[in-house]
Amino acid sequence: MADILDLEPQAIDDATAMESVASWDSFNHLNLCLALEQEFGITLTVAEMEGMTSYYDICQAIREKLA
Amino acid sequence: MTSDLRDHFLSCLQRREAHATRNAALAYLAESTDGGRWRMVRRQMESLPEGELGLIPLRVALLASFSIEFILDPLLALGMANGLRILPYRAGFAQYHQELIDPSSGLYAFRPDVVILAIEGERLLPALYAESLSLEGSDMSTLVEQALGAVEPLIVALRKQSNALLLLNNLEPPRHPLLGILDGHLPPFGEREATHAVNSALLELVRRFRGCHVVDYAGVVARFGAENWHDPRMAHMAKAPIAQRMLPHLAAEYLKFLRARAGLSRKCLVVDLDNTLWGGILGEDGPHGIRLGADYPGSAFVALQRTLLRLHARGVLLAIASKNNPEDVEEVFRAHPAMVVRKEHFAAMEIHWQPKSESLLSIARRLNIGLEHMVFLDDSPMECAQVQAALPMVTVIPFPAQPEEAVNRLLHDGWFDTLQLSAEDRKRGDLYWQKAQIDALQAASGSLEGFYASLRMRLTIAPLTPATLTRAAQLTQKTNQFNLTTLRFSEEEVAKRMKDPAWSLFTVRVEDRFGDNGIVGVMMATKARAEPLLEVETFLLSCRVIGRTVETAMLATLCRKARELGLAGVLGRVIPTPKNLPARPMYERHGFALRSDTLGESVWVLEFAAGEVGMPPWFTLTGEEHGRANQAADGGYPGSGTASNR
Repeated sequence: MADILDLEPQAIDDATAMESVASWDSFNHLNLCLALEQEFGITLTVAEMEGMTSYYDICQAIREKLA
Repeated sequence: MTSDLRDHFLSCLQRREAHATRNAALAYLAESTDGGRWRMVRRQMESLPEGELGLIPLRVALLASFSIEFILDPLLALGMANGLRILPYRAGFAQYHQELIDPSSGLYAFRPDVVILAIEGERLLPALYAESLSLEGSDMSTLVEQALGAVEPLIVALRKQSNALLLLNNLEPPRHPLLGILDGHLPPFGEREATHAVNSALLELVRRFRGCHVVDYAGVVARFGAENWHDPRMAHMAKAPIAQRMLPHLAAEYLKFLRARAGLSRKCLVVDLDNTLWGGILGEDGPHGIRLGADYPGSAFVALQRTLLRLHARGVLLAIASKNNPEDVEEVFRAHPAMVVRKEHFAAMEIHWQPKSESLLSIARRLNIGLEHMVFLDDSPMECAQVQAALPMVTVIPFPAQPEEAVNRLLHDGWFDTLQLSAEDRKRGDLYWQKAQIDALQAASGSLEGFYASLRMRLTIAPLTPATLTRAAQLTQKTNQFNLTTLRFSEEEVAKRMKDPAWSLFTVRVEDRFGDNGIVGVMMATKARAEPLLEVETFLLSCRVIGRTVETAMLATLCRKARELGLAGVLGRVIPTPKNLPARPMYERHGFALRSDTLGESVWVLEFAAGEVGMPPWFTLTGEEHGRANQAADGGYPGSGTASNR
């Protein structure tokens, strides 16, 4: 996530969200979703991708997927 | 394994080892289509200072009817692994039409070297794809014309503004035709059938323009599977219909063109013999014990030999580097019934017990080609590693564990692909064979004059014509050794000069008792600005006819031309490069006087008051080149005969 959004890993917390991070545009959002799919071996639906707009939401969604 | 390759890449990069870094990147990227590693390699590349690793900069504009920017990671990463620093230009979403038509667009301000134009069938021909409820009442030729009518103005506009290489995707056939399995069985025509017709018409269209090529997008999709190719989520969310893990395959297809554009096409394939050209080990199994023939595994090696023969037929030089007894190899070539390739297909053979890197060096010297234009195929990991370590600029392809995979392994990456192929190219393998015979003759012959005469050389020095244009431009791009100024020209640039009466342009064809060498020389001259001299701007000769006084005959022709124009002499320049050592003394040897010599170039003058270059008596001069235009055109794809259509 830090790699794609060009952030320091320690700068990312639950509050890190699409609306507040300049590099988190729609293009990078998709890159991020695809990278998460590969990293965790999951497949996301369009609705899930659209919902994952913050670090908190991402963690929630992946936890649900992996459960 | 994964982290090994990654670490190896990063450590080569840190040491700034140009070729080793590229090879490491290729190996790392080949291992997976995982988007993360392509992004990592791209970022590493982009963080390098310009000019680092000897990467060739290439300005590539991406124009598409969909979001094509997702291809940038694989395209730029793979570019670096291939020795290119790709500088991308992205048009706004689906802005390709405006960008191409408007002369003041960002595209033209970018001054692209290459323009990639990817228009989906859904966009180009909605009537055929998504929207159609029935094809009734329409006819196929109207559809084809509709597609051409949309594309042709774009090409015309591009050609007005830019000489960039155009890469135009063809159309993927509809995956789900309206009538399903009945598609094409009912009048008026089938959807897939229509796609093929459009794709054929696109090919015909680009053949009329120089520097325009169709990328077989439909073929790439088919090769990797339409079911895997598309990601409907991405299509609906981001108008990016191609699945991320498929994009490296599309990037690799574009890379074939970009490599060729940058002069990185490989020219020579060097093969090992044991367990590569045939199964088994000759020294142990004997000339009749090796596996080669109708039954597996021999059949797999026969298939590879057929592939070699096909590469030879398109002008790739073949050579052998093997640790064997030459007599045993001779026996296989002479007597094995299943051998497909024969001795005369190989331009060079190194069969001895020296290191293979020495063999490759010796082949490169003999054939006058750069190591970076060589591919090496060998089954031994040890030999592959030895060559790769000693000569990192050579492309090493390890023979696959299963011989039936060898053909695909060899051809998959398109290393030998070129953007042009002239009749001369196709004969290249034979020409080197002839040259080897001539070298043997020279060694046997006593006096030099006697040797020249014994060659029975016929020379055609003729004005450059549309029929010889492709070859002439190609020679300016490829000739390094006997090239006085090493100025490179595109076909467009040469074509422009051909129409300009201020320029005298010549091509040189040499035939001898061993065959036709084709067009091997080019001269371009114009009157010097402030003095009555004919100024020679370009003077080059292919290395395959060096050492036969052809350059003397060429200078004699220039002297005659200068006299015809009422001029008082000839002026020539020498611009030294690391490679043109053989050419540099030419003017001096022919009695030219040195006028000036700066770091960048020397200027030489021959005033007729002081002397003139005469035609050596051992040449037979023949008539005009255009008398044989048909011969030059038949292999000169993209056809020289099409020049008049422009």
